[in-house]
Amino acid sequence: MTGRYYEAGFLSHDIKMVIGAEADYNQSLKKISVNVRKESLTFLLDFLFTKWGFNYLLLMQCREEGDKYRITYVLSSRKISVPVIAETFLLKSVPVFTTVGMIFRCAYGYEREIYSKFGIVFEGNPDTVSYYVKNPLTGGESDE
Amino acid sequence: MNRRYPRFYYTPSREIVNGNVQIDYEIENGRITNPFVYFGYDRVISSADIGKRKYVEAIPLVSRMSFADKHTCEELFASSVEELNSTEVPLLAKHLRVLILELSRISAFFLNVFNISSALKFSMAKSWSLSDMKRVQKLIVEIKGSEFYSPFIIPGGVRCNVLSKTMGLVEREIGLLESKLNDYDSLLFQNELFRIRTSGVGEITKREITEFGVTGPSARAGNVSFDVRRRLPYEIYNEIKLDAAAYSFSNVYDRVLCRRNEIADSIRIIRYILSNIPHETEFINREGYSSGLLKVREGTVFRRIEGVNGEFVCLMSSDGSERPVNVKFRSPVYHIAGELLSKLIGRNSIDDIDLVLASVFLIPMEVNL
Repeated sequence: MTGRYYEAGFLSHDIKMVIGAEADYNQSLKKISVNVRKESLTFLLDFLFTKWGFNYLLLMQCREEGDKYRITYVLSSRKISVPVIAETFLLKSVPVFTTVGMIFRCAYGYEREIYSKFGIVFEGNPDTVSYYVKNPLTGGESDE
Repeated sequence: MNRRYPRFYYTPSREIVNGNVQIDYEIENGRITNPFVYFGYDRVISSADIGKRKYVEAIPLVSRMSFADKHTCEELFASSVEELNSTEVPLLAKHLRVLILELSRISAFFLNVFNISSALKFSMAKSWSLSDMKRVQKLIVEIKGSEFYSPFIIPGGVRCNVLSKTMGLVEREIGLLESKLNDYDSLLFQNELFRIRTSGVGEITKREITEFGVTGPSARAGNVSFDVRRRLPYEIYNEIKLDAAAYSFSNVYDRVLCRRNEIADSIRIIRYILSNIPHETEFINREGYSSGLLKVREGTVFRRIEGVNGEFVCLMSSDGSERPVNVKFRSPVYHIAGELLSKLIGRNSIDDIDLVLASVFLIPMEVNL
């Protein structure tokens, strides 16, 4: 139990120092929550992957909140038993974001699901392309 | 990806895959290329349906999310609500929960044996596994005291207590199953024909396991020994020591063998429960159930449970009202059923499609929860 506390404490500190984001370790709910700006998200995930061994993207989810989309990433590590929940916001008027598929391969599937539900384009993911790019009438290529 | 024509379509039988699946592929020099796997609309209940309802109303729906992993879904939902409300679960309820979870694991194992023996046309193993699966399901019904799909694991504890007569029945049936496992060994798992036909087929590399986030027996067969029950124990799993067997390659043979050895573990766990079950009458925290479900405290909780196919997870957020703000379940099948399955089909012979599909134990209704 103490080991878990110290590990999670160091991780929260590391996230704060490197990314500048506030990481909150909830001991009773056994999770670390990070609210991160969308520009720093890829850097945070890459940092967690390489330094702390957060190699597993357990869940990726999107939901609407007013004029924004809230995108949630849940990461798991085999080294540290506490999961990290990273959340970021995206304006509905600009539904474009960067893919994290180059870090977590399974993210492509989640992003495809979010794209089909909310129309958010993940740049770098070939399955989520803008309507204008996809539509042959506007000069784009079709699926076939 | 550009598709070329002619394309071929293959729909595996319901005996091999437990739902609607269609595979669309090309053939080049006798090999399958560019396979695409489509899942039919088998889903009955999704996370979005749960999110729209009150906590109380969601309980029966959670039980219908998956027919193979239904108790895992119940446990996930119940433990998420309990964790948000800090509800204490009685010790008897914890034991009964683990008992039912392990029994449903055994039932799912027999379903998987049925799928694999159907793919290999081993008719005796097929009929044995089907009858054994039904026998375990009857046992579950006996414990619950109501029909199979009714909820048993509910926030605060379990729905009913178990009679000592039923416990005697469980003990007898488990003894029978244990002796039957030896027959399965000689009929199927140690059968030379089975070994030759399945080893080296449908291999998932260690790198793919990590990249695609595969968990459960498919990962453990590839020597990635992560088990939520062992690493992050919930309920009474911290009292029980689980073995971590080492396997070399996650091919069809290793996956089946891994599942078979884990069933021996499950039987051991059930025996432990039968000998250590507390002599209490309190099977539910009634206060926690009635007041807790009306208003769940504000917060976000993330739960992980070892299901039949691996790590089943649930993310739940509450704003303090009687409805959740957000609920999302994710099945371990999701990570196998995407790009990885297409890759697996693509690098195997056309004769092995059925075997590969059966060995990963696909449950299409769980893919888009």
